[in-house]
Amino acid sequence: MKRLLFCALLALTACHSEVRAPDRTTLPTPAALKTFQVQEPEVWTLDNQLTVWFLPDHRTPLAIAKLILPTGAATDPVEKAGLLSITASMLDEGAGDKDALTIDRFLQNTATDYGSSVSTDKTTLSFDFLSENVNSVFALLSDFLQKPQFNQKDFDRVIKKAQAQAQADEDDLGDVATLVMRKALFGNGYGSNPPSGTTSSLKRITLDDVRACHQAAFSPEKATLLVTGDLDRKTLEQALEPLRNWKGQPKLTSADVTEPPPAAGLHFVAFPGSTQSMVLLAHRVPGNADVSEEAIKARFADGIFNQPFGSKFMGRLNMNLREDKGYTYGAHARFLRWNLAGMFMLKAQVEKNYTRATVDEMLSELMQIVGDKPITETEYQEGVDDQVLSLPMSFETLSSRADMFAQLIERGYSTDYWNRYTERTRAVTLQDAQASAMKNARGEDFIVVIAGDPELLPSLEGLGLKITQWDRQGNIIPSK
Amino acid sequence: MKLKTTFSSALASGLLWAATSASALAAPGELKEPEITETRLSNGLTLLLSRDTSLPQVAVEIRFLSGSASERKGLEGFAHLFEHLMFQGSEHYNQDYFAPYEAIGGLVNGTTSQDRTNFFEQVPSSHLELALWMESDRVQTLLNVLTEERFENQRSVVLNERRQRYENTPYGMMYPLILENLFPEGHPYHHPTIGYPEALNQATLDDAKQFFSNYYSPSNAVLAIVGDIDLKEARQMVERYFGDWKNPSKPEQPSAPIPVLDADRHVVEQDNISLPQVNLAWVTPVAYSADDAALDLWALILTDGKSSRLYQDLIFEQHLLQDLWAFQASDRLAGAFMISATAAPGHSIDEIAQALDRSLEKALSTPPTEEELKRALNAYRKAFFKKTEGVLKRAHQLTQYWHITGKASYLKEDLARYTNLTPADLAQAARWLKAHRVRVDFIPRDGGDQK
Repeated sequence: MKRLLFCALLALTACHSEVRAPDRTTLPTPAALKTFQVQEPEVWTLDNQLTVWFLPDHRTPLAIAKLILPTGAATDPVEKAGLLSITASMLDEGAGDKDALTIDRFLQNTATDYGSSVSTDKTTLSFDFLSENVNSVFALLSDFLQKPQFNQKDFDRVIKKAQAQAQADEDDLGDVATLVMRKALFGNGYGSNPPSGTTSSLKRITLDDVRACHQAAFSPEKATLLVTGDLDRKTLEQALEPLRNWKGQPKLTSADVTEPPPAAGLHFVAFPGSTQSMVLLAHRVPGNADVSEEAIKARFADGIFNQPFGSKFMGRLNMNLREDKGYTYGAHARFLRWNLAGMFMLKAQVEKNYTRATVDEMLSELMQIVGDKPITETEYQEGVDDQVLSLPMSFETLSSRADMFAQLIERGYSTDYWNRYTERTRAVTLQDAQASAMKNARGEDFIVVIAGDPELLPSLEGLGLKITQWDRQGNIIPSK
Repeated sequence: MKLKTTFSSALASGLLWAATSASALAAPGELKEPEITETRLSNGLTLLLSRDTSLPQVAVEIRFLSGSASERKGLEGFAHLFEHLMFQGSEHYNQDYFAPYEAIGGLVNGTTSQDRTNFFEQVPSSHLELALWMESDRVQTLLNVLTEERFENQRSVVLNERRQRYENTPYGMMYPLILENLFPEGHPYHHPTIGYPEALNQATLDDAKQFFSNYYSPSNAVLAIVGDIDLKEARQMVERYFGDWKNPSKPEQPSAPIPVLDADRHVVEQDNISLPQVNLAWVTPVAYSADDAALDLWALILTDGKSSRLYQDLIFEQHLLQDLWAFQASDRLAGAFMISATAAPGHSIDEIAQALDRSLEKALSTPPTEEELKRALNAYRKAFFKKTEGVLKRAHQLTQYWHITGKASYLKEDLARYTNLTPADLAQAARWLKAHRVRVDFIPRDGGDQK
């Protein structure tokens, strides 16, 4: 018995010796960081000038294809904003010998998720499918591109649904504030068109407009097909056969950027009775079109500046407006860039009574980061580390990997961009980040957009900004 | 395509801020069950480990088996408010819990639903110990540093979350109204997880202390670690950081029978909207039951895609609706099947409600065809492959399976719930949608002329 007890004690001691008591005096030192290399795509161009990016990935029997066209909402006539979006929405309403219901049954039977999206500069057709269906999926895509039916009855249904959605969007503080922000920053020029249109612009679009838009926008030259998933190159090449007959060049051009940028001012849109306000502050920034090393470096510096300012939960903006003041559920700032222009925007949805205070606090945070509270060494270092170390997470799933490479295509970046991401991020100095702050955080450059209860207007007059009132479709309401 | 939803995903309140012939249908490859190691610490904490070295990433999730269903009357919303408090600092890391993760490219957050509260991180695998240090510190020492000031601040944040996500967003009060009418007074699911402003305003720091003592104990928790880990090393780290966690509380899980409505209920809510909306809801069976899976498939057959039964009739052919969706949300004590129909401009609430009733009655009167069933099953097979992608998604899946079914290794069994179904099973399950129901209408305030 004694012997057994002794053994048992020994066993306990041995077991206990493996479990060190935790040291709570300091955070643990991390283990050695593992290297992370992004698989780069194979790239080739078909005879019709369609570029293909291919990333094999055999973890699941799934695949994703994204056809990215170099034409977006910036080519829509202002009075017919939403035209490209409606045209893209019409593709699965009938193509080749299949009508809308037949196409839908095909997608359902093959467990294929299909969708189209239009941004300021790009149109994307996306298929998420079982890789064994690659031939039939690309045959369908070929019909969308070369044999759309564009029937009047289908158009009538699609346009009415889009108009109704635009009407519903007018009930949403965030959607309306974003629309007014685009209009206030860019007038009727580049960047001003909401990709999905407005209730009034959609009413002006006809089926003939859609046919003409398809002819002018949906062509292989300058388009890229991104394919990733459980496929090999030979299988993919065979599946691409129907697309080899697709011909044409894009004929649409984007609107020019209006100059000069708008003067500081307050733009208000009324939501009577709203218990919260959407507060946006923004100014224009250069777009992504310049892909020189210098321009890319400047954009990396912008990213590091915004890390401690507004992109993180721990950013100054959120810590002030949420964690200190409790005005909001969340506040952040971001750079939103298209090809020719973009914006740096601060955003928070706040309790109505703190609307004015929120504008004051946002302006104060801007003043501080360019004044007596510049970016600290710790903020800078944590921003760089966060940017670098968060990269692997973005390549975890098939769809997130596809999205990461789609970004490169959309911005005209080379296939090695993500493998140079760490080097470029670490090349940004604290001085570079502060220089970005000095360029992007000058309070006087910002316009203010508020969507909220009109009872707030007297309290906002004290800001000393010219107040312009807008309706929910992005039109200025003439002052009485 | 809208797939399986639980109350947890539909209602969870986050801290922060998708013709061929039937015989030609696809048959995707074999789903692999991830390898999982399950152990229990001497203090009662269950540990689930699963290794995946495809990326240098690791996910940690700790799930407490208590959520808003455990709240007492007058404290509705407290479990979620408490989730916020858990990010305010602990004795040895007495500042915001986002900070260390945002310095290492990590992701951190928490959510609350009726049945549980979870806290999770995804970090570079080199920083696993940091995540365990942080989680283990707050579950043991939160109260030592929780102040009135922090409590008041998070009360304001949560009230703003309620305004932003429910009160001040179009149709935002749908879920609270459905729950209040579908589950009777006294049922643990009667009130919404976000709670009520009056209850949140009455909550005190003492309530927080009591809540923490009652529910934040090792016996009421499960910890999952998924990713690029050494299993032995990870287990030792958990022993080191969580082994001394002492809280003997073993709270009882809330219990209640699946309620039966004795009559239809109809609620009309005025909202700042342009387009009227009808929402229908029925009480349905608990998560992971056979009828639960059948109702998931019914949701797809009724409203997923232009050729689905209700969509084709009400949108494609009659042009009565702007939007239409359905899903089966289910949790530990009950489920709810919901259909939401938003009117196209020019159509009244009564017109769309009557049309929806007619179309639904017809749709449910005929069992699904073999082709309809196979289409819906293909969608689920594909979705199950996607469930195996991503360490954080898998950590969440493991704790969910363990909590509700008692088995962490349940992926293939879960899929089999769907693949074993026949048209006759679905016809049987349709009885749940022929019982009494709740109807919640949203109509434009003051005739809709708000703009």
